[in-house]
Amino acid sequence: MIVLDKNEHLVLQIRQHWFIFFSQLIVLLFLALLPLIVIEIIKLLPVEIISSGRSILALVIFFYSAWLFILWMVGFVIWTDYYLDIWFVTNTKVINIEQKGLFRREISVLHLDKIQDVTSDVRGMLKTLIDYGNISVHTAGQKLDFVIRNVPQPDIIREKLSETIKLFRETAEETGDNS
Amino acid sequence: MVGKDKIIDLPIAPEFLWFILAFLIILFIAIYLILIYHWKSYGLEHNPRIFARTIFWIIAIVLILIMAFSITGFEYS
Repeated sequence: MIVLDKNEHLVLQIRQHWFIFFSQLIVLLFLALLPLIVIEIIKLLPVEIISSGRSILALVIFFYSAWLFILWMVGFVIWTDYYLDIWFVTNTKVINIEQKGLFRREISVLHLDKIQDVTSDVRGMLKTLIDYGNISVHTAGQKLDFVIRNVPQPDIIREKLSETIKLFRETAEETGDNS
Repeated sequence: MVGKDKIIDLPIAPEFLWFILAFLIILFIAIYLILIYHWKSYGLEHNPRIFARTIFWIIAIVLILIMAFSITGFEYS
């Protein structure tokens, strides 16, 4: 949750493209199906697995459910990571919140007056087709640029961000003239 | 149909399976507490939080019940 200053308001709230989360879900889905594939392969082998006269089916169901249970928890951790990784653009600054796993969180703030240039970058067939890419915010006198990766509609976001910066500069100039 | 030439015996005690289930439940509660802390502290809105929590618990309880029933089935088979 972010706390805004008195005259500050939220302009944009940006998360990564849904495809990033979806691609991780696909991996989880594959992992969920993997034991079923392994069971089918074992069935083809000239081997019979027993468990001291007890039901092997119950054992298989237990371990498969346990596996799904672990994947379920992993899925929610991935979703939380995705959901809490966010950029806020206000009328005075850009706030980048990066959630890296459960125990690492980085927050960086960049004031709009420090921004020199904003560029968007869409590379690759898939990114072009579903329209997502990176936005780089270039600053004066700093080695590192602000980069937000895999955002949806990067061109539109770049334009909105540029407009916000322009508006901020105009307001700052007006305030400067009045004072 | 392939003839089964070799028999592999897995002598697993039901107590071991109960132990795994208990471990998974503890792990689940720990992860749930960490997630709920993140959701509350870092800006997940009220309604999505309730929705996420409900889905998280429902599926988890279903899987826990399946595991418990399968251990019972294994124990008394």
